[in-house]
Amino acid sequence: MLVVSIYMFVESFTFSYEVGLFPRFAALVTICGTLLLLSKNYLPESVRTAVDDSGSVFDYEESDFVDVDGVDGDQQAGDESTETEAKTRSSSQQHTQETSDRDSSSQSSTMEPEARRMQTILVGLLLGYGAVGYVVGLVLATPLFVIAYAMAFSIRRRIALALLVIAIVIALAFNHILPVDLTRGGL
Amino acid sequence: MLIEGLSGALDILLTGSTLGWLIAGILFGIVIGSIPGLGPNLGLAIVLPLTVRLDGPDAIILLISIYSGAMYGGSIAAILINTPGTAAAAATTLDGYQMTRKGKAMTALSVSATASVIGGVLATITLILLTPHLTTIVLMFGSPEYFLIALFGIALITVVARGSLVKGLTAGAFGLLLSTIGFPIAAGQPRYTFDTMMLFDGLDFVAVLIGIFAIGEMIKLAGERGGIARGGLDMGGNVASGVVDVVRAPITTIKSGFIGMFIGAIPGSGASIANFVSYAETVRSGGGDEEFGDGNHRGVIASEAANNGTVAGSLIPTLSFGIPGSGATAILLGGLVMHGLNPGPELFTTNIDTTYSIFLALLAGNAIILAVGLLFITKTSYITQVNSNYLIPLVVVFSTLGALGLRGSWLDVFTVLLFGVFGFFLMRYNYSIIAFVLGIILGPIAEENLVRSLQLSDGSLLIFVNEPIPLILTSLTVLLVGLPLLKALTNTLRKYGAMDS
Repeated sequence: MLVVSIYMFVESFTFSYEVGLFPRFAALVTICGTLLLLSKNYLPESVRTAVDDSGSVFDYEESDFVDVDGVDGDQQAGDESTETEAKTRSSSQQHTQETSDRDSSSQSSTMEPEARRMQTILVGLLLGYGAVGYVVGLVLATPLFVIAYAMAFSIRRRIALALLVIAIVIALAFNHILPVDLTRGGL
Repeated sequence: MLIEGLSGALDILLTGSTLGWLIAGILFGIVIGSIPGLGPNLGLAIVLPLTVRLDGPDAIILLISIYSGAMYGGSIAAILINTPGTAAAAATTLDGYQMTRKGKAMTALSVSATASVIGGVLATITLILLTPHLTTIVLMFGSPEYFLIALFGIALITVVARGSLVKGLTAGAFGLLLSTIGFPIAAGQPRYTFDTMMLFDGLDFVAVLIGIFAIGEMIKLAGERGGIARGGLDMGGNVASGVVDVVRAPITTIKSGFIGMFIGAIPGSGASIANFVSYAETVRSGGGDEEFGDGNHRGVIASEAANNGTVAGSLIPTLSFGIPGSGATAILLGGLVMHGLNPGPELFTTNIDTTYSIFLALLAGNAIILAVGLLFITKTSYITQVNSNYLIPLVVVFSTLGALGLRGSWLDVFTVLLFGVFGFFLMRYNYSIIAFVLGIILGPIAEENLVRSLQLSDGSLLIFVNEPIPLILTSLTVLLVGLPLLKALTNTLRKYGAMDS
């Protein structure tokens, strides 16, 4: 955000005053905000508190209503890493120790490195999907993406085959419905 | 006008395949809402490009039905497996899952369906009754007022977005900044286009929304493994007692519906906040006489009536001023714009029939939710057993193909993929997604009306304070930004005071 906003701030001076005013203002606020956040740890405590502080009038959490004493620190740290929806998931994690008949998502916080690996792989696959699609067209790139996903995520063969068929049907249906030729790339 | 509008709306709703789209939307919404990790935003994001072939009213009714259905669907997983399908049902887990553990899963699901429907219907009827007054207000707005209301919408982030205030403002400002790419409507010089035609029209905010809400969520989900409930859930309890429980708690239900509607109408807030506020209010009004968090059906009513009430509430700023109340309404706004239905005066004058048809669709949708919720209650547990990891490639394919259909531009495909990654990092580091989304949506509205206002006043800023409405809006915006800063300052001073003493 910092790099993009600095570039856009500098570039805004090449526009006329009227055209450059709005992006300049937005870029300036972004630069100030990101610099404050980046230098947070080096700021005096009073300023750091103000940077971290929530201005929200609606700061309700599950912990306001249920006893979370039994939750181990790792679980809480894991939960804090994502925003609202992750918080909603954390309620299941908070009760993990009470009951064993729980969904497997409650184990997510204990497999952080594995989770990051899977997320990185997916990001790689997404970018690859976009690049291959740009070259050969999305209709052809779609089955390749699904096959690569199934291999990377160790999806069972029968399910992978079902996903492949569904994805091909979706691609062909979109090609029929949308007013764009999806069989051609962008080159 | 109300009667005429409603009769025109009824014509739209009962003509052609509109009713079919409504039913399809509700059913799809319930399914997508009940699968943990998915939810209304994702459901709307992947379906939006597909609506390109539909008429405007059909498309919007399909989208609003998905939204409404998903709001209810979120409670199914919350009650059965203690993992809310959507953030809007987080508070439902507190008592809903405890009811399931006590062998009252069917009762809890029945309470959820009935409370959702009553909350949704009450809020929608109120919205219909408010519409003539909204029309009067909307027609009083000109360029200065639209600029100020956009600014006000962004400022609201500071008081409703959870987490760091600075992160919220930064994300919002970055959204505003990215919205300036391309050819500005109000002035004649392209910005940040690198001399490529592709960037002349700027980033399509619908593509950005699809990226953030669909791809970003999928990247998050890829690290969460599964979300599968075991089979053989104990579906104890009974449907009738759930309905009776809701009917016997009219004050909780009505109050929660209105809390949802009110909070839903505040830009940047939405159902994820409303369900907790409503739950907290129900606990407070219980006065300690009742036990909550241990299977109290009033806890489920509070959360569910509120989250469905937000649907109608969030339509108020979206349809009136083009300011989305939540992520889902941001995508809905994209749908409106895509189909040439511009929010503001147009929707309350020439297109008033369409506006009322959206409200009637919400009412009819709630009737379908009740029927599905009560009749197929025993089947709902199957939905929660879907492994969300299997859905990731399909959602990615849907989003990417749909992106190319938006404008036929590869820029939108890359926007979806890159903003998916960006959205994931926003979530990971606790930046407010809704602040960023509001920034990117409201940027062009704010800039266009700012330039027009300044042209009208020959460059004088007094145009923003010399009439009652602009003066009120300016004061409110200053207050909104000033209050959290003041709060942070007093907290710091208090802390130092305590340390000194």
